[in-house]
Amino acid sequence: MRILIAEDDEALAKFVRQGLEGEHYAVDVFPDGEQARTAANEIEYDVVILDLNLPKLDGVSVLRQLRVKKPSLPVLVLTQRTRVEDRVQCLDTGADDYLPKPFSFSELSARIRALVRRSHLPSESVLTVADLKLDRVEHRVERSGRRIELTTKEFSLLEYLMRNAGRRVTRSMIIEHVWNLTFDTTTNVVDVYINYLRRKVDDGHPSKLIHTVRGVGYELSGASEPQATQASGSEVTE
Amino acid sequence: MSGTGSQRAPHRRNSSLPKGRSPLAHLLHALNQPLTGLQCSLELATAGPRRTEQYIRTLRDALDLTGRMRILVEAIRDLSDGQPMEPEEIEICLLDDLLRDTADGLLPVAATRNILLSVVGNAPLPVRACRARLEGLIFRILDSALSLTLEGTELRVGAEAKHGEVWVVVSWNQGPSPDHSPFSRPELGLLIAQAGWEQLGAEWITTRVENMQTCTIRLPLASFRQTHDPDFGDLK
Repeated sequence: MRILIAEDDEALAKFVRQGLEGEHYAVDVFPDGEQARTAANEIEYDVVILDLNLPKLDGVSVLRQLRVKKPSLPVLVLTQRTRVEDRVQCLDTGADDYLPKPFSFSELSARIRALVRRSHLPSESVLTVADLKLDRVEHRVERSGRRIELTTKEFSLLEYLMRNAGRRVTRSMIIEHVWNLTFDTTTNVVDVYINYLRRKVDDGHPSKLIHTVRGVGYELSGASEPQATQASGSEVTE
Repeated sequence: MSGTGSQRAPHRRNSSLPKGRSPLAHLLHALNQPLTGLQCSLELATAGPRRTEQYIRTLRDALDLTGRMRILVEAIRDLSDGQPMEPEEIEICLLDDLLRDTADGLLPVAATRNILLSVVGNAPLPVRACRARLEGLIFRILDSALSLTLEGTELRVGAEAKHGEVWVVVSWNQGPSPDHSPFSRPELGLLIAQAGWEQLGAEWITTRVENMQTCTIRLPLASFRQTHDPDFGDLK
């Protein structure tokens, strides 16, 4: 798995590179937009991490040009701004995800995993993980053939977890994609909804699907040992 | 509506911060504290050889200080990035519906702390705003207020039309001071919410009587003509 990082802050680029190499990615760092654009066009990358404020050629121009030649290449944009309008503009320009600075490495890592996963997934109307099925069109969920009644928010949360099955997702990612908010909440709203979901999805079943990744967030997985644990060594609890 | 404002003489102000300094300046000043702690702890750690446990302790402290700085930086960014709404973003939204939807979504959270979260008031309450921004602001104030509410008490949201304005009154019994008060995440959340509501053209008034905290938000009611005239956008 090869990742391109376009970041002009040398120290930040170094830390991110070290962290990603520690997770067994091959990483190339470019300090300006021109070099990043050239490399992205010539080399087959799996993910591009793009800072918006780059010298020589800004990140938005790199992104626009990249989208013409490589429309399906996953791009994660790093930026200083968090307004809803900035986020929308960024996604409209062709970014697949958006991470404002300051960020934690675990957040970045989780988002890269989700991006890689998404880029390899067809858009299915029925999502299946182990004996759990979610029909996005019929708005129907069942486990082991038994129907589970969910509220709208619980359904959206489960859908998001299932789309990222086998990958840890952070609370920020959940808040952003399920609640459509661009800031961290002060209450434990995500944890409360996860608990509700857990009761409905896992209670009464010997195999638990929703796992807590301590210090990071959650993971839905049919495996007894979630993949995220093996990949990163993070502590996972039921 | 909450009647808290009519008890004893309330302490009334337009912000939860001291007078004479902008919120941004106040937060920048607050940033100095964890930054100084971080600088000193790292200097001490590199001053000479230490035991492994001491390095680990220093790094944990540094991570904690960085967490505090991050919360402040996010708040500073939220305040400084705030911009007036573009005309094309503005539509007519029913504030009472948005308040109820948001409160409903937070009911499970309130239940875990045995807090009664209630929304009372008359409807409909049309206002002109960017819907996404308004939803975010409603979530922000209720989420922050819920975090600050004393367990086992009530968080009350009143919404009504008065003299051509919408009055939203959020009141709660203040719980114990959170860590790093007044720069905790929920307190900063209220501050950012205040700035956001003021950008929508609202007036924000904070009052406190004993332990009862109240935030009153007053913003112009969209007129009947506006809600039914296609030139003013659809009623959402």
